[in-house]
Amino acid sequence: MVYLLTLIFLGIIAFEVPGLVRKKMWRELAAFSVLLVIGMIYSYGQVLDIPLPNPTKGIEAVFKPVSQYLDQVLS
Amino acid sequence: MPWALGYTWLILKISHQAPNLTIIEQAKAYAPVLGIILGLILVIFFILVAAYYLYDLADFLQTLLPKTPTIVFSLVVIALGAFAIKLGLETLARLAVILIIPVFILIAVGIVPNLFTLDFPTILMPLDNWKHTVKGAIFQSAVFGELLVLTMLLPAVNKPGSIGKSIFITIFFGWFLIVTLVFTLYGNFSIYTTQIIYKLFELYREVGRIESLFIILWVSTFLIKVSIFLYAAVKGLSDVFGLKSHGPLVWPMTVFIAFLSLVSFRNYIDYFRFFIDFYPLVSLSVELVIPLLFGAALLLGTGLKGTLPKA
Repeated sequence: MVYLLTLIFLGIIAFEVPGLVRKKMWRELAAFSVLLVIGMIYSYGQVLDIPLPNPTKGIEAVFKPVSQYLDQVLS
Repeated sequence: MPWALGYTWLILKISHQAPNLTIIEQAKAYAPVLGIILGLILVIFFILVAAYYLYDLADFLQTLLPKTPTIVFSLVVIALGAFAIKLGLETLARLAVILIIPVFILIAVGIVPNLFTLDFPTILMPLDNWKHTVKGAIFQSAVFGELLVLTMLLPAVNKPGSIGKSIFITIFFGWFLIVTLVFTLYGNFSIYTTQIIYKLFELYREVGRIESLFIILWVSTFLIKVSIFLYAAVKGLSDVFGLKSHGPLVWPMTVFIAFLSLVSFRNYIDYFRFFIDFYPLVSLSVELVIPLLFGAALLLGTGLKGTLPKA
């Protein structure tokens, strides 16, 4: 799966980067690179079973008091 | 229903101020900092919605093909969506139009015959515990925060000024269809909304082996939904950073959302608990915060003089 992922990422880079460099779209290239790195962290992390930050858990922590309050009021 | 129509009216009113700009571009034109904050909140929301619906779809497909890993479904589905977005939004719109025919076939075959065998006392049972019914209604209305995606799509429409009527008809038809579906399944089989999809699958299998049509429809509609939120996320990100094109962001965002959907939940029970307890609150917050932020940006931009800065 790691090899397959590497192939996917190489394919994406080969598909997008030459065009961006040729057209001198540096801002787009920077945004593309940052997003690709985040994608790489999540994908390799998931495949290699490395613990990753989960935004959903953060959302749960933030909204838990409100959810519990609503449960009490409406039950 | 009135909430959905009212909220859509508000969204359209905001979008029509500058029909060729997305809500993020508009807000940035009025007040750059608030515009960027609004944009980032929207982008995060769109990414999360895409990831959640992708998880739902991939999990459903895995129940049909249990030996295939979930990531395969997630990647294939969202890659199809990304490919469609690369070709242009029109591809998704055409697919959506084609799907109207199977929707009518499935309604005629599976739902209409069951309308005549409804058990009315069963339908009235949720009123016994009206507090739960009210809670359910509030939480369901919160989901309309997803309508904010319209603010990202309208600038891509040929005549943004004349789209309101079509949107209102769609919302009304969708509401009517969902209400009929829920009452039909509850009144005949005592099925709650949480089990609707599996009951429908069973029903269409019994009716005449047309469950494959139902699966095609289910997968395609989810694919369109995930694709639209993927588009909104990349377009939003491109607007926040003032990029010339959102195209280069499509594939990296696709991979990110595919794996985020896997990281988000341990299993379907975890996903379902989140959707009942927390997702409506997330959606409601975005639903309320975005118009407020936009109003603040407008106020800062006009300086209470009533004149708008040029976008």
